[in-house]
Amino acid sequence: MLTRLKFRKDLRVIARCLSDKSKDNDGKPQVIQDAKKKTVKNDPATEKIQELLKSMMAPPKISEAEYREKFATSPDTRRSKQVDEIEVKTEKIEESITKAATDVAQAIGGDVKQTEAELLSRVLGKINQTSTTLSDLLVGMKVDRTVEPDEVQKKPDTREQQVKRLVSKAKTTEASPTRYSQRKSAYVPNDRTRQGRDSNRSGTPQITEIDIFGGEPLGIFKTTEPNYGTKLDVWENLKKRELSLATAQPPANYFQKIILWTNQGKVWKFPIDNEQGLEEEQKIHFSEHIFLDTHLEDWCPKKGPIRHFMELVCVGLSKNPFYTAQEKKEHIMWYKDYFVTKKDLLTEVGAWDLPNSNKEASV
Amino acid sequence: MYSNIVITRQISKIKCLCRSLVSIESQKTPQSGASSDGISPPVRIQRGPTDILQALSTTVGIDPTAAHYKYHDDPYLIPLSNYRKRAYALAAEAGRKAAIWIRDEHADLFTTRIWDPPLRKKTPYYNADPKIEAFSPKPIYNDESKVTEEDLIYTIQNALIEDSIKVYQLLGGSQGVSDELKLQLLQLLCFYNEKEPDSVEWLEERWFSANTRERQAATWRLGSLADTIFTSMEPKSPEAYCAIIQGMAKYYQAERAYELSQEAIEKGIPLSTGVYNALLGCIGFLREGATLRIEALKSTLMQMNEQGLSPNIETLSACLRSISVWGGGIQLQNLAMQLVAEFRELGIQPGLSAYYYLLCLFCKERGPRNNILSKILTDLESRERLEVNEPTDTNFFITAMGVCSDHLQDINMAERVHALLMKNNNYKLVGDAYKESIYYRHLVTVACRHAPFEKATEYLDTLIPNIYIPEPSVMEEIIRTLEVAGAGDRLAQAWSQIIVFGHAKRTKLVERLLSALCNCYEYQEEDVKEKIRSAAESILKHGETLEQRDESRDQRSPVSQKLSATALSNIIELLSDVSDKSSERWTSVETALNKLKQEQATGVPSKPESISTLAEKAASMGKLEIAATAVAYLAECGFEEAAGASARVLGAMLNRPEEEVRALLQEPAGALAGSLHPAALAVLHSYHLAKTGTAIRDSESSTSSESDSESSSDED
Repeated sequence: MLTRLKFRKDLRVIARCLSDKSKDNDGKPQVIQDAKKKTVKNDPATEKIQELLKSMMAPPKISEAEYREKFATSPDTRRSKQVDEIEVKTEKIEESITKAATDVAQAIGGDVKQTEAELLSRVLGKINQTSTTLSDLLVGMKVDRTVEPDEVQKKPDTREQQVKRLVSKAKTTEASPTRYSQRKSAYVPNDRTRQGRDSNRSGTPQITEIDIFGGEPLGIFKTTEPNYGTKLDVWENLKKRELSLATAQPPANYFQKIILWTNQGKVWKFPIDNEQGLEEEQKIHFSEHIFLDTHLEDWCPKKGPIRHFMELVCVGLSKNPFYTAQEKKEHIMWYKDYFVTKKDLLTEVGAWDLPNSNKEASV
Repeated sequence: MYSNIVITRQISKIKCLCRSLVSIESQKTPQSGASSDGISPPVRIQRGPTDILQALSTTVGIDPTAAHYKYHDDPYLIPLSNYRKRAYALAAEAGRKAAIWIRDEHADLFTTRIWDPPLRKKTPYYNADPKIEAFSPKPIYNDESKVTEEDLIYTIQNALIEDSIKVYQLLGGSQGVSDELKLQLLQLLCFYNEKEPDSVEWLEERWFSANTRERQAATWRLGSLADTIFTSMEPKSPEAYCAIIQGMAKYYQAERAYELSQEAIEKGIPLSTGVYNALLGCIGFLREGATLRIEALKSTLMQMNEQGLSPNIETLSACLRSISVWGGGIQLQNLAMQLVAEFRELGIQPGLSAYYYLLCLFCKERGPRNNILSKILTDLESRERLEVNEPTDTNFFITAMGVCSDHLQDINMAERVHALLMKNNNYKLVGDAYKESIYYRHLVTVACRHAPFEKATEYLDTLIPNIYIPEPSVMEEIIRTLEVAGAGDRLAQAWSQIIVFGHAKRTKLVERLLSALCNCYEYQEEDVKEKIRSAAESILKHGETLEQRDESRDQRSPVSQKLSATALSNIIELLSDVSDKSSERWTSVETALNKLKQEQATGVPSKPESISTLAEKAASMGKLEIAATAVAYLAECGFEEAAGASARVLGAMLNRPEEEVRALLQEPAGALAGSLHPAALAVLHSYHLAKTGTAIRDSESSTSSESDSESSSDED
């Protein structure tokens, strides 16, 4: 705080001096005053600049040679050389400017140093009244020497100052009254929100009425028979797919999960029907499943144990829900082949129909 | 006897009879209206396979107290933060994905279909009927696979872009594939611009993938397979033209799409409404400047009319989509209104997408406020059900709620929007998890800011935590609302919510909560005060555990920020409000105070008076060390309160009136050193520190540090 005050005072003095002395220096005082205002406003900024400047002024902690001894350094690149060249050039320019200023000052006479300083400050954009070297200019401009003793003492305990700075910063930023103070003044919760809302509302203009459906029709289209032109099947399907994806949500209850699974074909469809998925079989009439005797007609004996057996097979098959009609037929045909290959033996035993039919014929 | 009856002819007769009976039976439909005997069976209603399930699922309402269905399997692990919700749901899906991957990779092991029930096998090597496609391995296509056109049809129907391209190449490119299949493939490629779309199977992935808004830039792949197929088709059918133009326009290759459409018109090829919809959507890429664009839009519509094509609902939303991205201005707004009127005259009501674009056009955040949302809502509310026509329909509700919150700042309108979303089956229009959370962010914000407190809390109670987890910014809004309403009980709860939602590491939020707690504290009932105190203690402990964790991890930069000094002083203020000397809170107070003293907190307390109050209180309660530390801290920071506080504390310690103490303080510090209690001595030092300021501090610093060590040794 102290340091800043001093700094401000300095500036004011400087500004006054300049405005008194150099009225012919058109526009300058205003500029400086502006600058002053700015610096006063941006306290943290000036502080930062001060610190930077200080670090500029301070001698390096380790000399370059020492540094090079201790640490590996990269070899000098061309770029750094260029920078050096520029520096050298600027230094030369600076020197010549300073010299010219001294010459002019001596030619004018009077307070030589003062005039020189003014001239220099004009050129370099710096203000200093007594000294002419650049470093002095900088120091006089920005850095308060008064701070330095503290630092020289190497006292880490600048906490108080830190604290004060923080507090002052907080005060400037917290221009608006805190909620705490607001609450202290009045404790009426709901009213406050309403007030806040009202004030909010009064800030924005009132709602304008727009009749969204009140436009004047363009009059391009006439209502006719709908004609949507060329149809793209796959495109339409993909559109439907995207649409269902856009509105798909993870199932929110068991029923929705089952709906999802039903649509994915993972579970039985309602109503439950044990012929689901057997669409091929549904094309076949049920009579073909039940009346299987037709398959016996052309080979099986009309009577006797074989016939009896085959009829039982047919009855069994007609009650079987698992075989397809084709499988049932194949099953019967297998018996046919079996019996036909054993036909000789069967005839010999008398199980085949021939003797019976003979008997019948004879009877 | 059986054999005697059965005769071939008879069987065929019976068969015939049966067939006719069955066919009659199946054809006969029950007649409605009264029959002669007075019994009239109701007409059969044909129901789809999921109709009954849907009816059943509507009986299950939304239960805000329960976690979402996908999380309920393990009640101990119900997720309560956004991160966990996402992680759990995706983890479950990742498991399913892994299973499917194994099934597809080892397809030969999964060829047997199981019987249900398992005993009814006919033969061990036979498979069950029906074959369930969803459970059978998916084909994998590579260079060695032998493919047929069947495979191409399969891949096209299932929208497998990469597989279909592979199969197409395996079939020998344009020579080996029939024109019809080529056309189908062309449509598929154009629709997705040769990018693999999201799978239908993975709902959670889609739900949680934050699909940001579609990029409005020319993303059409030039010289791609779609282009090749199109050029190879000779003669080019109208379908091919339509497909390629729609594809190009969909991905904003506007100029070529426009050229092709002109070419098609010159050749007399009939285009389609879809083509014009797509062209209308990319007019902004053809012209610059509002006036030229409007002209182009109108002329395109006119051309469409000349071609004898009738517009549909998508034509309207395509026009409005174009207009809405051209900026604002009265000219465009008028055009939009004209379009709406035009289409209404044709009997086409604007869909949700059209309304979404209208909201974008009319309700700019900083623009003048208008009432179009209320008009739109009136229209939508009058509809029996909301039809979903386009994927962009899902943008309507989040935009409408955003308008309520930012543009209109009106809770009543927000309630209307919410009621509409909850109506019927409309909730599916909320889109995905990302949109859903933005929607609720707007809703909760507007409720907190503009609703009466009772209503706001009602919303908070129903939505949080199962439907919506507030983000840190919304949480701050909630805390502000609770603070203004003075709801200390809820504020104390808010801390546990912050922990559960995973926001406890956000120091700013925690600090905000602490200051809210402090501000409300004095108006609360005693039991609520106790809750607030324990919340404050918990905050302190949580900070410590975080620090320990950081230390144990040995990270260079600690992840968690430390609480600021203001927050710590707030904690101290809350915790020190105990009337009992032996209370355990004092240890917490001491921890917090030590943290302050050891500069573990950033900044300085904004209310140093709370610490001086603490010092006096501690002194009067006989907690001398705490009092000494507090005063020392105040003095060190150079607060103006330090001197007064130390005098009063000393007075309380020594149990003497203030004048006497003042007199005592005037004496040199060294003279009293032997006669006083170490804590009192420390206070004395603090007093001098505060009085004398910076200059003498140097010489005093050694003694003050001594006093520090003394007080700390006392604590041991």
